[in-house]
Amino acid sequence: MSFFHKHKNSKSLDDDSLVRQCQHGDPEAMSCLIAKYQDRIYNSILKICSNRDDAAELTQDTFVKVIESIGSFRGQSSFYTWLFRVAVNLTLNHCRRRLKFSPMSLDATHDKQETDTQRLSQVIADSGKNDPVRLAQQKELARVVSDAIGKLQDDYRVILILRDIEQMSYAEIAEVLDIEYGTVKSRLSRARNALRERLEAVLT
Amino acid sequence: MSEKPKINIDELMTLYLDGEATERQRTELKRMILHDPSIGETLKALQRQQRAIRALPVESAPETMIDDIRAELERKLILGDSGQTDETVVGKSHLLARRALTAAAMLLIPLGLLFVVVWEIMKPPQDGDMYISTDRRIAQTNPSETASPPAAASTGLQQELPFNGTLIFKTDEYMTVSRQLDNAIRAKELIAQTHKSGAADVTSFQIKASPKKIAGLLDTLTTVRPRCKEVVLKINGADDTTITINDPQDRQLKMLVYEDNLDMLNRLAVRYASANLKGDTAVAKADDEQTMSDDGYPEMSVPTLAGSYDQMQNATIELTIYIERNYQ
Repeated sequence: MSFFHKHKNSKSLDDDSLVRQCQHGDPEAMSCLIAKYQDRIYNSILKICSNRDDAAELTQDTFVKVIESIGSFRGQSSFYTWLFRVAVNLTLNHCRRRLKFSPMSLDATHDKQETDTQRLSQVIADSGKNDPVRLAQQKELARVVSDAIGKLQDDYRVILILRDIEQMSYAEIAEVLDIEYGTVKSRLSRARNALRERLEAVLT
Repeated sequence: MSEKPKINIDELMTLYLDGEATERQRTELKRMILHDPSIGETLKALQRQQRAIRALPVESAPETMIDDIRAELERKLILGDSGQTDETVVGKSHLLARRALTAAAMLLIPLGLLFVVVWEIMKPPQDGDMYISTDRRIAQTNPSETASPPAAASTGLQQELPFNGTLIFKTDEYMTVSRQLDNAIRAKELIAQTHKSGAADVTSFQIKASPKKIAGLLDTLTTVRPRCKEVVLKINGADDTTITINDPQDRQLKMLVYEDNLDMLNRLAVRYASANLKGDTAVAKADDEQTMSDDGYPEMSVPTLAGSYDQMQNATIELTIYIERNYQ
């Protein structure tokens, strides 16, 4: 069972009642909401911003912000999409700020990616060896895929993570990103093609 | 000719990958693959890519996350930073600001502890017959002497009523009670009329508003009382006296808040203090009911404001609420 399904299918803790209790100042309900979603929020933020310290900080900021404003949450959307909306907005603001203060050399990035791809192709070509080699290949593949996702433009990276890692429906993505259903479809399509171009040598 | 169909094929493949394609779209895609095998290759590459993304390792949040969030919320509550602003600042400047705030919080904690110790030493005995005291501790600890409270948000001529008191909630659930009061003040739209300050174990809310607004706020505190070990009201009476009322009842609070005559306020406060001290609150409540009007407002003793509560809209009273962590 995937990480997503393990958590999303869990009905033991009902969001609506937890939110209501939290609105009445119940600290246990607050802890339950954090415990229920902290790993998913952290994992998604980490995949977007690619830095563990930043991801921990942003996860904390997300929950603090949500708990502070939970009194004004009226349930027009689900708590789950509201939480992710706050997380994504905070993370994208962070990414934009980071990009502003630490510009990267696009040429250097491209060169490094080519080197990674060549090395991974070589590793995959050597498949059929024992398990440690296979594990190393998987680890290397994960690293290259993560790097490739990390180099996509922000809106492509976010939509891919919401769909393929968090496994949100198109409707949920539309709500989190505040865009139309049709835009979800077209942006997701462009994001996948952009990633495919980067990973072509590895995955074909 | 080539661009538009290409977009359609890409989107069709995306819908197919995500299981969002209709039967007709699936059939259409299969037909296209039969016609052009390169489309099938692209679809396979996208499927491999999707599997690779889904196989990425899942990372768990740091184990201290819940504690970190609680600590951050507590720190914000202590500093009175209740999230009224849009939080968008992250990065280096944000980290520096956080460090500065943390340093400020670390300075406030010993000061708060000192405040509590001084408070405990100087607090008058709350048991026994000495419910009227002449000490001025309330005035000394009242934030109004160190910080100016915001003016009441009314547009007309403001008139001061004699009520000036301090309501103290001593509780084991300090955070919850503080948050509940925060929420109640927001719900009653009293933020602009409230000056909040605090230390590690004491938070004060100095509120200057109309009696109606304050009575409305007190009405919402019924959920706070069960969480408190001790509730005490201290009234600043005539001639610099302080009248201590243990476990004041809701109706008693309402009577005192609306009272427009200082002498009557003193007499009422003394009567409530005496009745509550003897555990005779039922008598005090029954006594109160005789002076309540049909609309639920208490009747005024002297019609200094023409006897109408509507005309009290511009009058203001001052109530300071302390939330104290209970150590007993």
